[in-house]
Amino acid sequence: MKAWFPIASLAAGFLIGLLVLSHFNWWVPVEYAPYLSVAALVGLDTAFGGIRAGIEGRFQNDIFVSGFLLNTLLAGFLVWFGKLIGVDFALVSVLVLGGRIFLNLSLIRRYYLNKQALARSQQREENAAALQAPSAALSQKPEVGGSI
Amino acid sequence: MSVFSAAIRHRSFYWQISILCFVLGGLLAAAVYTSYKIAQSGRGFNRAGFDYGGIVASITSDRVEKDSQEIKKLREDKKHLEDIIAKGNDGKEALNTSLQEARVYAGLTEVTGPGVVITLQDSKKQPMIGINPEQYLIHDRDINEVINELRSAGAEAIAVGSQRVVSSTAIRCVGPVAMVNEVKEGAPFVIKAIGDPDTMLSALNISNGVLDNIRRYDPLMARAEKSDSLKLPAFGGNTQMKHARPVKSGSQKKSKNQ
Repeated sequence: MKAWFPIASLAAGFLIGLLVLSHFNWWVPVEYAPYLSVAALVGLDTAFGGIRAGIEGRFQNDIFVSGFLLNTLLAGFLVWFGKLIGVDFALVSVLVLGGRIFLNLSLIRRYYLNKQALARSQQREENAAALQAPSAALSQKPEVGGSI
Repeated sequence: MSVFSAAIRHRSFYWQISILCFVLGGLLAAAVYTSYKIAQSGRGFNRAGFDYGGIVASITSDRVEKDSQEIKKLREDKKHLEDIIAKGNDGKEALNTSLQEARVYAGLTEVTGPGVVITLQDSKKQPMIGINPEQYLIHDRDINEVINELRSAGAEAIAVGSQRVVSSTAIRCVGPVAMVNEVKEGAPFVIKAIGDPDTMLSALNISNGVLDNIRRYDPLMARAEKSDSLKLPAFGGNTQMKHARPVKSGSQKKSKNQ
């Protein structure tokens, strides 16, 4: 199962990022902090969207990459434009992306729960079939005998 | 049998998502580290990492050196004046020189010299949500902090707008303007200081220093520039003392009220 790869790479990226940043003492200026948080949100949204598309079987590299880049650009533009006219447009991207993250997470959850339920019901059918097969054979015997 | 109506075809998407998650981890790390750094450099910034011992020792020795020079100079002056008094009526010129020196020091004359010009203005930005809009305005305390920093960096004469800053100067906010020497001064506040331009500029621009605090939310709120030649006005206010009296040099005994 490769499902832990994304989680492991997330942790690795976080740790390496933290090490590099603290080693060189780099940090984003206060004015640009909103852009960074919006970019992180877009990243989360893309990750969940990608997982969902993958388990639905319609994952495509170009859509994945272009979605990430374009969404980042749009969210950054919204933050910038919102600062320009004094309305916090960053809230728009936070709301929409946040909503999508929850939606995608719920669909992913549903998929795995349904898969488990399917597996359980298949198991039950197989068990029932396995139980029925000998009992049918047993119950057929008296019938056969009866007929004789 | 399928979970969703679409056919499940597991293309390899783990790698792509793993790479994205790596980038995302870096972004999150940057966000966390940035917010940590911002919290760390708040107004009560931490002073860890300074070598207090060495600084205090050097300041103290400098101070002792300066003070002893001052004492020496004053003793020479005193001897000079005593000599003149002893000689008789030829003391006018010397007295006048000493008076002029005192007047320059007190800010009662126009002065010129090299220095720095600091411009403080209110931000034109819309305040960010969650931040006090007062942070986007220049207040009396900002001006006072700048003046204090200038003095500690060796400024010899300071003026705010058209008003010279002297020992009796008060700077306070009254509505949208600031009162300097009881005269209204509006934004942008132009503070001129005569002294060593490099020392004063580096003292002002020290990281997390006075100007950095003012520029926290908008870099345009404070600007400092060197100037080769500044002309500061004379103090135009009242110099009458109503309560303070100089101690007569002859009567060293204790006051009767005590």
